[in-house]
Amino acid sequence: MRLLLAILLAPLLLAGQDEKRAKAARPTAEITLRIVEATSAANAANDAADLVPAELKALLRFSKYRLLDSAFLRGVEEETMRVALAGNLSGEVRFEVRSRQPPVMEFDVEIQGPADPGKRAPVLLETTTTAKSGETVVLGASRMRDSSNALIVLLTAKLIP
Amino acid sequence: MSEQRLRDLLRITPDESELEARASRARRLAVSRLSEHCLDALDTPWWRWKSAVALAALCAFSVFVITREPEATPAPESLRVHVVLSDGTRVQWILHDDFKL
Repeated sequence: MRLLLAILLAPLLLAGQDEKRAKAARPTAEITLRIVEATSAANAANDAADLVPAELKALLRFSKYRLLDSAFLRGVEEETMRVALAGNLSGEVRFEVRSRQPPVMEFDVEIQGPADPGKRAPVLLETTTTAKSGETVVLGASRMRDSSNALIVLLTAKLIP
Repeated sequence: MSEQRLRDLLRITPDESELEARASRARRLAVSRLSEHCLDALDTPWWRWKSAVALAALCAFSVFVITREPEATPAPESLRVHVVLSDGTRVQWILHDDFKL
């Protein structure tokens, strides 16, 4: 009876181990997200002014850069990492390794805004970008016209060897 | 009857009242035929004139579709700008009108 049970369960146990092995073999990355609000409001904080490259600030017409939140994520390839940001925002990050040497990753990033009751959260920023391990990529979003503020996401990723 | 007598009879023309009566009969007959023709037209099956109306509408619509100007190209929903700063930092900026932070 025990032998029969072992024979029947063996495929399931082996499949589970294969899945664990495959998951363990998938590359891991550490991702830092820094969420900054750029605004023209005179009384807004300016605590993230140093995070935004000066050359970019010269291109933009905002006067203040406020750090809304920072997040540190660690996850494996092809798994969606979800994070709550700045109280009423949320983010999703997913990556795939495009190259091992030099290590280059492709990221799908989505930042959602505050959701009204009973409605789907609006997408503030949704994009795909690539970054080398250790590189910081700047992602921004604003209105096409009459933009009084903007969202800036500084994404830094490091592939764990 | 002699030939002369027959010729005399053929030469006789109807009098004024007879002509009037004949004309009146002819008018009544014409009016009667015209009425019958109109009533026949009204009795035409409904699908005939509805088909004609539908065909006319289709023709008018086709002319409208063919002759109308093409719609203006809608404004893009979003615009993506890629910038590489002098220090190599890559910036990807998305402009869209749904943005509301």
